[in-house]
Amino acid sequence: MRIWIAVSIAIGLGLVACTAAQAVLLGEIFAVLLHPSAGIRGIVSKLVGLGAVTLVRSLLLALSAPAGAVAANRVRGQLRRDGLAAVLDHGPAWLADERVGELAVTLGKGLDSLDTYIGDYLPRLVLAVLAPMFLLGVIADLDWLSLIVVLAALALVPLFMVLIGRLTEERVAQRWLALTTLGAHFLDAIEGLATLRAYGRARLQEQQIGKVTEEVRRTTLSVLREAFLSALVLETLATIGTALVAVPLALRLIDGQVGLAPALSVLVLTPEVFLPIRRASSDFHASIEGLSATDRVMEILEPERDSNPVQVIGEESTSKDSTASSIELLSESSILSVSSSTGYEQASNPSAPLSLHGVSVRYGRQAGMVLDSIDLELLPGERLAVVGPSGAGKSTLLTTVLGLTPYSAGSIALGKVFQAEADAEWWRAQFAYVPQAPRLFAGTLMYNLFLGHPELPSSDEYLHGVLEAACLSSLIAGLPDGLATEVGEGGERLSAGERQRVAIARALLRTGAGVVVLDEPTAHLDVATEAELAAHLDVTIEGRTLLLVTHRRRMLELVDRVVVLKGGRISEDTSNDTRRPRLSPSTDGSVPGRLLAGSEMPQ
Amino acid sequence: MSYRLSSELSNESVPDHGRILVGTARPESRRVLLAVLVGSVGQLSALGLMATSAWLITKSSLRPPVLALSVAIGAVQFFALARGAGRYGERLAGHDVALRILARLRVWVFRRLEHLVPGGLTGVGSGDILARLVSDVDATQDLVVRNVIPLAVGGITMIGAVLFTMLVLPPAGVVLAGGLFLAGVVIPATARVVGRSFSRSLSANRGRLANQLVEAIEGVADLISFGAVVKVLARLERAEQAISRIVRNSAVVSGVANGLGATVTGMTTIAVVAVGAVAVGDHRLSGVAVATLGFVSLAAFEAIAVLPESFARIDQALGALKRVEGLAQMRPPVVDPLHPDRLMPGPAVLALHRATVSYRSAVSPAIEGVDLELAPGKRVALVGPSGAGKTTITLVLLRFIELDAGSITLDDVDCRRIAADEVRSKVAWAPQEPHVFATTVAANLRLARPDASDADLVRILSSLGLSRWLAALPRGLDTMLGQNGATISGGERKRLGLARALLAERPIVVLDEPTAHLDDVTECQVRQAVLGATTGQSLLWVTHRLVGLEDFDEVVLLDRGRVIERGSFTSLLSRDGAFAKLLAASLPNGHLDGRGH
Repeated sequence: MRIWIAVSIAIGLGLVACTAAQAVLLGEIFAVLLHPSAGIRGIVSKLVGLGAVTLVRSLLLALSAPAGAVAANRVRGQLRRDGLAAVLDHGPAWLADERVGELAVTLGKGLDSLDTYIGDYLPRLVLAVLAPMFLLGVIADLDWLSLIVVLAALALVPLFMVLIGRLTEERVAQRWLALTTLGAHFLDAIEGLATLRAYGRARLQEQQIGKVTEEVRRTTLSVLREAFLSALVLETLATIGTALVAVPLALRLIDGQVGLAPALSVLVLTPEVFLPIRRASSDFHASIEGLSATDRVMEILEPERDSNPVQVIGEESTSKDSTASSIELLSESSILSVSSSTGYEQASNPSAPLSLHGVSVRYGRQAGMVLDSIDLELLPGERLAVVGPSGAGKSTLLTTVLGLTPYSAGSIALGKVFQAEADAEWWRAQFAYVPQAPRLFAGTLMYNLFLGHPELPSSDEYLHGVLEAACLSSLIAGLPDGLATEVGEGGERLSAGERQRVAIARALLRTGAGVVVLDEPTAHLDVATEAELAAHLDVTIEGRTLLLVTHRRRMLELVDRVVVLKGGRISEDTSNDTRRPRLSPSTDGSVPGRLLAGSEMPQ
Repeated sequence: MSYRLSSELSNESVPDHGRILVGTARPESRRVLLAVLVGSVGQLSALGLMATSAWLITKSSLRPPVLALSVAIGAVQFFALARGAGRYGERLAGHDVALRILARLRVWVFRRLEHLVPGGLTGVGSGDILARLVSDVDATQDLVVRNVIPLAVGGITMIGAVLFTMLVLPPAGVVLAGGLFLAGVVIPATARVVGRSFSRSLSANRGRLANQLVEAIEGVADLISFGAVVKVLARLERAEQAISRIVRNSAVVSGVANGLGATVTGMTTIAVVAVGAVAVGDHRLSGVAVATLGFVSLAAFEAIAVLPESFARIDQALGALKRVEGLAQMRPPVVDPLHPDRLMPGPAVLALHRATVSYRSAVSPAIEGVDLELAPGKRVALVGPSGAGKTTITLVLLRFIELDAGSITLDDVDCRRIAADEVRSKVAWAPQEPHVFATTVAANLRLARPDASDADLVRILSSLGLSRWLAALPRGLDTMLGQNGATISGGERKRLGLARALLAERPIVVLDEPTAHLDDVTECQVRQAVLGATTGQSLLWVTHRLVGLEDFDEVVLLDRGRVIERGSFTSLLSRDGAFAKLLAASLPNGHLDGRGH
């Protein structure tokens, strides 16, 4: 990137040299023309020289835009990549206090406007210093006294710039804030538009948007009034400079103190001295958004990542490369190396117990504890259900175990490996998780099912079993494109129940994970589908540890043990005697069993 | 639940390109004109400054009396000041008018969406809508500041420079006109055509990238726990590379255009001087005049130097504008009648008759031949598996989507004769996934009834078992809820939606899966609270759970869009039909049936 900016600067300097040559040649040509009696043939060679300079200038100009673009591409790409990687790395706990809309605008549109800054502003900033110096040298050579006039005008530039710059900087930052707030405001209003319409409040929100935008206009204009002042001062100094140079030159010409040719050259060059400074300043205002976005990305990158050292006792070589930065992971070979290093096969044997000791979680702004010194031990292969009233901290318990929610006290361990010390990637690879509101991603069903796999599987026998278990087979059989069906953004083309089943299948396909973690996996499912799913799950997760949050009795039949969570504490811990050895699946052909399974309905 | 595909174009005349912008800009046309005028004064002053300076200097070298120069000296100083002032005025006036137009356009966009969400918009995720509103609408602001005004000012300046040159030496005027036309119009316009595909795909790719960003950030928990972050970053990398490629290629095009422009600029000035030199040789023109012309030529090209950028950006802006205007072509799923019937205040009977809805993307209808009557005091439970069409029925009742066959009536009046907002004013609705706005708890609830007192809010929240949650909030009802209610649990979000519906006190209450995220105890409490609070209202309780149905006057069993059984809970049980079998299957062991009352 530095090289490309240097190239841009070199091109800029070349252009300035061409300008100087043009000015000198023009001055000489006009001087000849003013006294035609001496013969004007001489100007032909000078006109040819002017043509040659023009061609060189054109060539340099043609190269300047691509050089800037290449530099901009590198910086923008890097920032976007790192920014998103950091956001994803900070995880859900950090995101809870952030606005998705604002982050997306910063990383998207905000960084897009960085192109101007890198491509144009930076090289021009350097040229704003180098080019005037060069041109002043040329003017000094042509006419001493003019140099002094130009220098005087030039000296005023920094003075005014500092005065004006200080004035505007803060307000421009405010404007950016107003704009991003508006971005989040819009997303919020639109996502809730159905609700607003249902309650006849959309009109009001409409006015609100008009009002917010009007607010932005007023803020922006008050900033611009001052921001453009700097351009006004610069331009006026340039024109006044020209006037101040022209008039004394004219008077001195009358007295014969200066030649016509150098006088005209100086006249051509004077505005050029100011031009690079003017350009740099105008680009600065154009690229301020990109700069603000960059600052925001830096802020996002700020909370330093914990480089969790791998300390796996008794299980060496679990993961050495997964601490590699996300960028390095982008290469295909290292993706594979992660998969082979995350204990993919060995973990399928859940030989280690999952234990929580005195685990407490508090949310930053909320006063109370979400989890209050939880002690819990799950033996390998044991199945545990967590029940309790809404808001008791059940989901938090699961996300804490998964390492998605940081805890303030206690310890969590799988066997001898403590979560706090384990490599995060390796730790998460031990769990097959279905969140309460699972998210699907734009792409095919296949892509979503194998979200946790670096590559698609060669054999699909197991896949078919899992699809059957998640009650997805007939849904997929009914789709014209089958597993290649695009699910749309966020899986919008599927119903909530279908999304949930895809998420269950997605978790079951994580064969490497010894612990299955399900957060209300059947909340969107009807009873018959739930019963069918429960029966299938019973078989599919045989031998694996199960950590389940549910409100549904049918699901409780799956577990050996039930823990009641109330106000962040375990209030009851009982073994479950209702679990039957093996449930006969309700897809036994009986009418009721298939009735509500929707997809199983006879045509 | 899936929404109707709406990319279909309406039968009404498709608006011409830019019509929306012109429409929103028309009230501001005087301000646009003012900006152009002030800008032109500035640019013509720049021409004047160079012309008078050149004249002054060359004339001086002939050593005239100083007095003969005084007018020129005054003019030089005047132009020097007018130049900056004009430019400053143009910028301010231009941005002011652009932002005014922007405000109108944003409201227009929201107004369009208002008729399209939900039910009229798919294939367009929230991320894309965000891109549309923020990026595209902002780009149309550029259209005014960076395209319309500079092009107009540039045109006027070109004409001014050519006219002046024509007066002094007609052939030079012709040469200058040709050069300016080439450098200011032909080359930039050609570059625009060549670069058009780039800017078009740049907008599209940036939109796609914005979608991916939103999706990735919202799905962060899933991505992290499945170790799929790398995958998503790789996806982003591909999108980023596509953008980089377009940026680079379009820079090459504009680079070539810039180079050609510079060639034309230089060669035209040389030609003007050459033509002038010939005239001087023939003693038709003074050297002073030629020098003046040469400087005017230089200044004229300087003045039009912004035009290539204006042309280059025009497609970017137009592409964004086109996407914004695409909203105009989407047909609202429900269209209000021209002369709607007025409704009587008070209770009403909302009913479906043989109602059928087919989504374009689906093979079979979402609902088919559904009859349903919601009368005052009547409680109906709509039961069925996921995908049975339950949510579709709620959207129909709220007039968010139109029927393809059958009818929906309010007090026996066809709803097609009533404004949809009027129908909705009778219905309180809690959707399956209620949206929690990024504002206070109180404001989130009051949108259903603005005049509700704090006591009302607290009463309703505690009836839904949220009193402890409320007490734990740092600022009670004034606590801000995060984006999408991220700081509250699924069950709490659900109940905030219910609280809205109960607070609205409307004759008809439609609740979509009101207890999906709740545990048994809370579920029972919530059901009782809802039943208690809606006495005398008509209630539609949509659920896939067979719990507490004995409290309802009618249970409607829906499967694959059709009503397969209906009646009171007891009559359904005694009928021993589909419902009874279903109930038996869901409670395999008698002792599990702990919910019956």
